[in-house]
Amino acid sequence: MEKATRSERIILFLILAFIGVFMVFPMIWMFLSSLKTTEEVLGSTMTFLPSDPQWSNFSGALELAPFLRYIWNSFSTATVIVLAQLFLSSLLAYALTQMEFRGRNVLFMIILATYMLPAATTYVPSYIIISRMGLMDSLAGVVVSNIVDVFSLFLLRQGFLKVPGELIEAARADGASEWRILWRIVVPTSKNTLINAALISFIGHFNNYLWPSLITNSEENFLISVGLNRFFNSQGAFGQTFPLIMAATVISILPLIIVYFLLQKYFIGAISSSEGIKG
Amino acid sequence: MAIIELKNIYKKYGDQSDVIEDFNLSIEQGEFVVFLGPSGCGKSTILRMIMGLESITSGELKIKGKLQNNIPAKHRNIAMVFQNYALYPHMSVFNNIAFGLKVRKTPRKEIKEKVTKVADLLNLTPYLKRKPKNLSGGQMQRVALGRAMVRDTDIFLMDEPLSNLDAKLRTTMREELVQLHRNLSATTIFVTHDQMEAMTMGDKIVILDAGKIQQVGSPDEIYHQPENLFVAEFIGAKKMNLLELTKDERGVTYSNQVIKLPVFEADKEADILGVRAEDCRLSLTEGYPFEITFIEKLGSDQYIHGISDGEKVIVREKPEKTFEVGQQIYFTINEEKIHWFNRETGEKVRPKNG
Ligand SMILES: Nc1ncnc2c1ncn2[C@@H]1O[C@H](COP(=O)(O)OP(=O)(O)OP(=O)(O)O)[C@@H](O)[C@H]1O
Ligand SMILES: [Mg+2]
Repeated sequence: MEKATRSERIILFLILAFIGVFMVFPMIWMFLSSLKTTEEVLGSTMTFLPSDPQWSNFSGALELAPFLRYIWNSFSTATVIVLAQLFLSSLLAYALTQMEFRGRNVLFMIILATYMLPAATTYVPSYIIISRMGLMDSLAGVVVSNIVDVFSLFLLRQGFLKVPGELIEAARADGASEWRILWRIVVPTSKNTLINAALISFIGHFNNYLWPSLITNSEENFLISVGLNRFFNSQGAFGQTFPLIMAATVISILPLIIVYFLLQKYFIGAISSSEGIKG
Repeated sequence: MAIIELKNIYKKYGDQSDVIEDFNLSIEQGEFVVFLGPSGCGKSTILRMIMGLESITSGELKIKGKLQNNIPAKHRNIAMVFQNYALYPHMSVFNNIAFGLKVRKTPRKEIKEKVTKVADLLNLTPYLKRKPKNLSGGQMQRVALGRAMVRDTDIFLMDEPLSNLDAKLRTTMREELVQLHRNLSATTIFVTHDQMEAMTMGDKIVILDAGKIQQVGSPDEIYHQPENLFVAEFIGAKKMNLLELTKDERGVTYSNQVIKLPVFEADKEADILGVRAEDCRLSLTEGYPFEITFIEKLGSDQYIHGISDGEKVIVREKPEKTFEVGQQIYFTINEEKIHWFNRETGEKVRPKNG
């Protein structure tokens, strides 16, 4: 690419800065609103900063509904789902990339084809299966129905394809079994791909709403997205508790923000691979 | 008894034509065998079939008398050094070397002892904690060797292990490898396309071209008794001079002079005369015409390139003699050092009784 001139760069910077502010503004607004009083939020004069930060909104929100419980439910199910997905996808991706068998490519095509199915069409059959398994209204149901994921399989397969064949052959010559080659050679050398897949999947499942809302009924099994939504709906006088709702929302996205700061450097890879660009 | 036996081995990738054709070889315990041949002739393919990384299309591979065709690589207990090192990038040097031992559930203490010993032997001790990406080419090379050496095996396969090193390091590594082979007395197959490497290292050289064995022999045999035109041209600092003979009513001639042919084995015919540069002399008065085109001085010797009757000929001469480009002189041939070939078959034609 040609080097931009100084003025071009300034213009580019301004545009990007504007877009950036535009994108994070709702988040900032949410955070600021969570510290305001109801009057401030609903009053006719709009204020930007809360005149007197209401930190008590947070404890207030936590009293109205078991948000910490919801967050824990989301966090733990997302974690278990991610681990299970990575485990299963690694096994399958290894077979699809490193083992030779008849129909290997056909198998992969069939698996990919299932990715084209709209998720909504799977809800009814999945619902029936989960209920037959006796896993309705349980976190186990949420986990079990999500442990197989075509997208993470696809990502891992792409990653495993990049592992030099000689490494695997060297390990075979060293006497290693396929199981060992997968976990000791292929997975560690594809570490970035695995982290990318894990991040995408974790965020997706932490925020997942529709399917969990269909199979969970009791409050103790709500994921944060489901719990937050019930909370909105149960607070009849919506306006009255707006700052509390904002506080609850801030609490609910906190874990993701922490994950983001811890694993910042992997996010760009995750985002570009989730958009199908070379990761 | 032969430790490795290859019988009528063929190899085909998919439905392409054969990459290896009717390969037969037996290798004795403790031998240092070098596979030498131009790029793409199938050296790596054979090595990989012996290792078990590539299926054998047909034929038999036996190791220590046992058929191996369907035995997976991990059960063959052979150590291999790969063409591009293939070090595990996420492991330290120590763990790279130790991997093969860990896989075999060697006790931790024993692993430590063995790795330390090998690292010491290869001068890798200061680098044991480093990752491969922080090593120089030569160091990576040695780690790759260490990984093979630490294994409790008596068969080593090495696929051009020195090809990525600079000339100086290559020479020292060559010596070290030969020394190592003497100490371990393990059977080694060493692949290279560098003939200097082959000649200096091998007990036995196997020359390959286009998937077929051209000749098997000691470095001396390969150099002094080439079996065919390919070997004659491929081996030697300078390729052998090959003079095309013509037939007329006087007999067989070269440059209008009659050549005395020996009596050959049963009705074979020779129409190419081969002679090495060092078995020719330049002369001002007699022999075959020779016009000097280029003089290559090497200090201890000089190679005089010229054209004789339309053919390129190279003659080695003592460094004291002076010649000039463009000079029209003659060259003579030491008749005892002539090799006879048949153009059609490309094979050597042997004189009777000798
Ligand atoms: N996996 C493969 N599929 C198809 N053809 C192959 C495969 N591997 C090697 N070949 C072909 O087989 C022939 C021999 O290859 P091989 O790698 O054994 O050559 P080589 O002698 O080791 O060459 P080099 O000195 O360049 O390493 C080549 O023509 C190559 O193109
Ligand atoms: Mg090769």
